[in-house]
Amino acid sequence: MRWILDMARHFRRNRELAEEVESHIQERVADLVESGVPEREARSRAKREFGNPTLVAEASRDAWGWTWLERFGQDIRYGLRMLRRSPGFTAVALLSLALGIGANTAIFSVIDALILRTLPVRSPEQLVWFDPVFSGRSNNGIMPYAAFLRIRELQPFFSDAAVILNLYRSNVTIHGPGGGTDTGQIRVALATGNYFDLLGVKPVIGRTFTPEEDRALGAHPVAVISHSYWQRRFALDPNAVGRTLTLNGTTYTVIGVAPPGYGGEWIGRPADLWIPVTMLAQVMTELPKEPPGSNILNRMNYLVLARLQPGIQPGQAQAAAQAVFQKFQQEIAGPNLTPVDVRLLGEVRLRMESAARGFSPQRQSFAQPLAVLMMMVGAVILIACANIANLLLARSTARHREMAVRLAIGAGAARIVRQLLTESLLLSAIGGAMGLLFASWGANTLVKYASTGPMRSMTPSMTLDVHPDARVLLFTSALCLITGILFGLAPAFRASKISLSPALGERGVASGARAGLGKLLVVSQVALSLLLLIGAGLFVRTFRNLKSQNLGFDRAHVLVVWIAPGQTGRWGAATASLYQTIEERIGSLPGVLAVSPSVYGMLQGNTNPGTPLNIPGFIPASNDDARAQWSIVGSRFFDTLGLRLIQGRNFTERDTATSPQVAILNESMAEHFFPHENPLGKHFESWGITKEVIGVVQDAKYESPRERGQRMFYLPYRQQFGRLSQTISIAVRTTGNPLLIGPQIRQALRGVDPNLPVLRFETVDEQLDNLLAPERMLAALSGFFGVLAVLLACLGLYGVMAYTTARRTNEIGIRLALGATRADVLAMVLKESLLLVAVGIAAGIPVTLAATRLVSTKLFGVSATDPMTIAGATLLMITVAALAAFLPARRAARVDPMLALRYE
Amino acid sequence: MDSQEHRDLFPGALEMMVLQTLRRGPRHGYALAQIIKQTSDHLLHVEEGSLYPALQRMLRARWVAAEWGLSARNRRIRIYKITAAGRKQLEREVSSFERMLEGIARVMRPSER
Repeated sequence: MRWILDMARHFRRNRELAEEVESHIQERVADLVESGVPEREARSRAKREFGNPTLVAEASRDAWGWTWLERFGQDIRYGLRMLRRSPGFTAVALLSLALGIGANTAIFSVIDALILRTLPVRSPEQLVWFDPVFSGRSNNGIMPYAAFLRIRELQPFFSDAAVILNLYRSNVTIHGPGGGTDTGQIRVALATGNYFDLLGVKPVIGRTFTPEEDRALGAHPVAVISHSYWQRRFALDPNAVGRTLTLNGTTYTVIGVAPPGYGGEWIGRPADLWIPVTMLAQVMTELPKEPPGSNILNRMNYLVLARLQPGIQPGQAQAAAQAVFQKFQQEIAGPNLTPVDVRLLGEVRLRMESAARGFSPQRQSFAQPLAVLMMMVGAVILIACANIANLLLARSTARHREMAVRLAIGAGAARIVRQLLTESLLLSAIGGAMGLLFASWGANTLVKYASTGPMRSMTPSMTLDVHPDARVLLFTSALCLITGILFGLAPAFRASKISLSPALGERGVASGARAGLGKLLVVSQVALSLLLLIGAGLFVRTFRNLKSQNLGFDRAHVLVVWIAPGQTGRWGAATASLYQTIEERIGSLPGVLAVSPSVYGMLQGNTNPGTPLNIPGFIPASNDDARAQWSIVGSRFFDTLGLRLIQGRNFTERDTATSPQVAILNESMAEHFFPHENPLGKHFESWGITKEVIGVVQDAKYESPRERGQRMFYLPYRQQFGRLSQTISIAVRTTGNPLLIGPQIRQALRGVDPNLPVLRFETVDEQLDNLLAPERMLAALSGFFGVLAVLLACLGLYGVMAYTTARRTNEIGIRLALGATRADVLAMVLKESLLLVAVGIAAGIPVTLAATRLVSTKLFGVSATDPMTIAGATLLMITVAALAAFLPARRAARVDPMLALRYE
Repeated sequence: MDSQEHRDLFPGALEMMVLQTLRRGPRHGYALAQIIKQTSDHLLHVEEGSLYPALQRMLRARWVAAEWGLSARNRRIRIYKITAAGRKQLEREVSSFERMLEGIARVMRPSER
């Protein structure tokens, strides 16, 4: 408040001083008139004797301090006037700034939301989660319930611990006004009763869970809904507490709404509903019934969150938790251990990670692409800065006289620098404000690239809530300040060093140094944009290579249908017979060539090394050496995908629960475990059961187009009741466009069981898009920024060439008068422009080669120094630059020699 | 050329002359300017305007006080008078000025010692 008083006093002083000065001059005039001087002369003499009233006013104000605010205001008013006076310049500068700052803010706000932001919970820095590590491999942060119970006992280290199980569910019906059945999937988090208290998350209405909810299994049908779900499905109904919803046949009462912005601890997979974990059997109806006396909670693995006791060293807490976990693993392994078991047990670790920023496998997939994009947009804003600096330099020549006049009437050099910097900062501030608007649109577009379609927990694609928070605003403001200074400094210093006498003459003298700096800026712009263009080319080709990679199976006519038979309450043999019915019903549809269930589907991005195997006579060279991926399929799976059986036989109906277990290996697995011998009739053991090899099938890409030589074995579903998972895929081979048959398949499935959740229909291409979301985002955005960079650089080139040719009108006139043809002039200007571009390219290529090496691990099917990409980008750069240079060149060639000579 | 000849004497000289003038009675700005010009016999030629920043500085330092009054021509004008602090400051300035003059004199005319 004090500063308001100060300002009032300050304005009064200024007013009084102005009045005093006016009286002084009037008195002097009156004195002079009385002494016989004519009034006109008296007036001018009085003014002359008084000196410069503006300077007097300024010096007087200086005496009191407090003038910076006023001068700042004055600088801003003046700056705004200057910007209005040259709308073309202002528009170009603001547009490039808005794009540059907007792109930076957009990328940064995604980085902020995914990587930097801490969970909106109490003391997030105390939160940790645990990741069991077996033989150096992460278990993606899930562990058994019994292990959690032991960690919770470690009171001296952890004040509390909770488990969370995140699932996708369908079949949710909301009762009451505006309710109805959810068509898509919703994210359900099962948690212990202390979950919300542990985090310190308070409901906006109603209550959250209490330890009471942990008391008895199946006895607490209550749910806390997320704020976003409340908005989406309950229309923010203030009476939502007490309403009910049905999930898989059990009706839950809504007891509270979580605060806005809280979507659980899993960043990228926000939860819609929280349900007590004691309701596990009701939520996961696919789980088999437990025999009396055993706890169904032991059937699943969970994410364990804990809060460190204040003052405890994380290292100590981790060591304690790891010791408990290792002991637990030894106990469940039992007394009869093979040497392999002993070694594997010795390699069990428990990592403890900070949960301050939540838990997110998606973060790892996107961190590097986002870092690459951040660097790219950093380069874009540098190019934009160089452009504006160039425009400002050209303008500063135009404003030469103005600056000289201001210097001559007594403005200090510092004042001029400050004025020009204020103008630059004004530009960057307005550009930044526009950029923020662009950024909120851009960040949402970017997030759309990151979430290409339906989700599965471990695929990279994600849902992300991006909104500018204080950190983003701080970033943008800092960016505006830095850019403003960056592009404003050179022109400002140039202006402050004007020497007065020539500048005050009729016209400023063409300054060679200005053109030199401008050319240097253009060269660096060309170099930087070439780097971006080549980078973009590499990422686009990587994405295209991954997309078009030969998967080993026929992708054009395959539809993948995801269903959740577990949610109908079936398990074991009932599930197997459901599979069989589905196979028959869909198989009889017209246009369907073959159909087969497949428990894990294909191309899910699963990176686990598979299950460990015991093979008589095979001595593993390393931990992963005796492992292979597995899948459970129907007998027509290979026909459906177009995989050729190389040896042996396919599964038949005679392979049943009672017959000996059989398996079909892929080529890589047969080659690995049974080199130089016939694998047919050989045996191997997994999960303690021996399986006979009955066939060998072609290799394919199972999890990702990047994988190579993945070992894989297939088991028939009729023999594997215990491993039929809750959500499965059904692969359908069609004669025509696979998506067209979707509605018929949905109808057929409804005929099989109206309660069977049908989650989604996907083509193989769509699955790939989902899997390749980070690569897709990187390709699309780097392409956009690459093109933007080239356009900005060419705008810069155009500006410099237009400026220098305009300066040389006279010279060109002489050349024409002396017999040069217009073609000569055109060639001359073009040659100069392309020389700049050539220097830029020569400088850019080594930089590019150094930079692309850093991202070589992200590339696929293209080397970091791919000559085709480099040549293509260079050619594109030259073409666009030639176009940009052509306009000034043509203008120069059209110079009328007579006019040009008279002009001087 | 002109400005080269009549430059400000030394920092604080103008303030000293203003305080000295005000010791003889309150004056408004214009009158101060005229008196200083006349008494210094136009030798210490200052632009009249430069008086005002000096007056503002002295107001801030509370060596002078000002109130609005009327000039002989009935024009609203600010009248300055010296304060107790101003008198003290003047004494300090004068004595240090005299010491300085003495010093200069010794250097300039060493024979007279």
